Amino acid sequence: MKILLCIKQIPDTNDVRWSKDNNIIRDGVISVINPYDLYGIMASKTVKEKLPQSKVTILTMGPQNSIESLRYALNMTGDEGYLLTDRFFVGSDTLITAKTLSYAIKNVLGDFDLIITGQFASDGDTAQTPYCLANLLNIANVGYVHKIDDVNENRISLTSIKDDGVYKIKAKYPLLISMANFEGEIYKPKIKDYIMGANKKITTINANDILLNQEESGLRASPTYVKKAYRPLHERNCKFVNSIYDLIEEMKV
Amino acid sequence: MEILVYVELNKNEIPDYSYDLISYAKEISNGNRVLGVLLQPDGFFLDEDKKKNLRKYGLDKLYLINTNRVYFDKRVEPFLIVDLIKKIDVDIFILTSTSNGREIAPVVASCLNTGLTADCTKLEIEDSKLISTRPTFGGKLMASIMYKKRPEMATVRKNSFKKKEFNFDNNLEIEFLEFNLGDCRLNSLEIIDYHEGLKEDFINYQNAKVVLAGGMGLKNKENFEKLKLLAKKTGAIVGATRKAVDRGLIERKYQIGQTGSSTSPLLYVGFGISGAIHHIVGMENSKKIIAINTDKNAPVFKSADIGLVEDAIFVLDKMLDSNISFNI
Repeated sequence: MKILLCIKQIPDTNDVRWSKDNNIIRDGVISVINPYDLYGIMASKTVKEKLPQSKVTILTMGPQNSIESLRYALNMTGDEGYLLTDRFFVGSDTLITAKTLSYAIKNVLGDFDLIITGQFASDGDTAQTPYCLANLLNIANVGYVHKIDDVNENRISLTSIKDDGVYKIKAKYPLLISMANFEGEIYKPKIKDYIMGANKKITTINANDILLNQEESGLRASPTYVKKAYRPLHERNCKFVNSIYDLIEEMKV
Repeated sequence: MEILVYVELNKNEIPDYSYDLISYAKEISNGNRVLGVLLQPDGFFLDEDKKKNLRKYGLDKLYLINTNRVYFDKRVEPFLIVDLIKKIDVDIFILTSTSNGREIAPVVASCLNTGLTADCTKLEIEDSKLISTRPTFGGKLMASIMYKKRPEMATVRKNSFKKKEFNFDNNLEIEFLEFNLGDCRLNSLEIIDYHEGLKEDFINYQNAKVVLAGGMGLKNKENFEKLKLLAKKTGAIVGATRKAVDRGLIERKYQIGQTGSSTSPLLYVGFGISGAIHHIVGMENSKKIIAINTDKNAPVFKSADIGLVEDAIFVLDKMLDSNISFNI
């Protein structure tokens, strides 16, 4: 079975610092692998354990230094990696990101039986790209996956948890799943994994390789753009009380 | 300029959050028409009360797609909506940011090759253009998003706007539409089991009157158990910060804030919560906010009405000993 795992490197949102004029300082911010993609990595490990003949390709789109997270992911799982990077991709919104990924898949990587993504990326929190990607590839998708219950060459059984309840779903391939959680511990790569990971091949591809022209990529093609960004202020006038008894009085709404 | 609202159902009823969204659309519409689309499953009936309510809270016209002729599958909704939007040519399409809304919206947007903003907390219209504002970057940054294409789409976080009554002297206009399945990919998925979830798996923060939330200042599981006990005694609901959940002090279902639940109770009390912004975005709309923290400079006090600089565990113990009630 052919599996594609999509991951994203993001700025560590716990490491945000502000300039005096309330802009985020981006220089020197630590980059990390999106936490939801760790669930994706674990999902791909689950499938690979059950079906050892499967081939797992890992794809990431982002700036050149995303290769660090790609290598980290390859230490944990997968057979080979693709880094999709180009200055023309800068400013891509969710739709254009999905379009760019779909071009890489259609024009370079080829067809997959199963595509695995994280449900959200913690920097943007949109959860839109997986759905757009599945739609552009014209394949079915299941979101909010918490667990892979079973998997074989023909079908996969999934637990998906949404606002309205718990769904048990059986699906055929080709299929895209996005992981919102994972039951069980996240694997920590060991020294042998780093040694094996270092030998896995990473191919860098750009807009030319995937046959996406400039007009169709990045900020220029994106139907949304950020008009302004600002630091949220959540100020109320806090009145401090001096004792628990005063506090309890205040609780009598 | 016309706004289309996705009227979501919850257990075959129109939930308050759908009325909230309709009112929000009407509020920002500058007097333009607000249209709704409702996909009518088996067992749903649009009675007179519902029609009156939809009209009262701001809806001008409802497109009703009767889907009960065939077995209705939620996954066909985006394709039915795309079909409708192509037909009626709306300028703006908004949905509630439920898991359902967040699954439908990106499919609709990519079918229409248009822009979509996720989980907005504020909508404005300027010169007939939508501006959608949302927290991003773990809630640390607010971004206002604009669009280059139409329809301009957004999913809107629950409780961003409370429903309000508008006075109209005419009735809701209703148009029934043919069910047109078109091109969709149903054959490869099969839902083999569905359950609503055990009651204790889901916490209803939407209707909470009092929320007692704990952070790292409560230090251990035992103190979170005490918080649950206090909540039980007083009819309140327990909440927690992401850090407390990540550290395993309390189950994930209690997480309030970004990637958790949002709540806007009459009273919110934070025990040992520092006030990380990803928590604040989930509770800042509470009517009254009380915070207890040992650090006078903790950011949570900036979001609080009443503060006490004290050990939250000590306060929790005292409250358990007293016969406190919240009079609600």
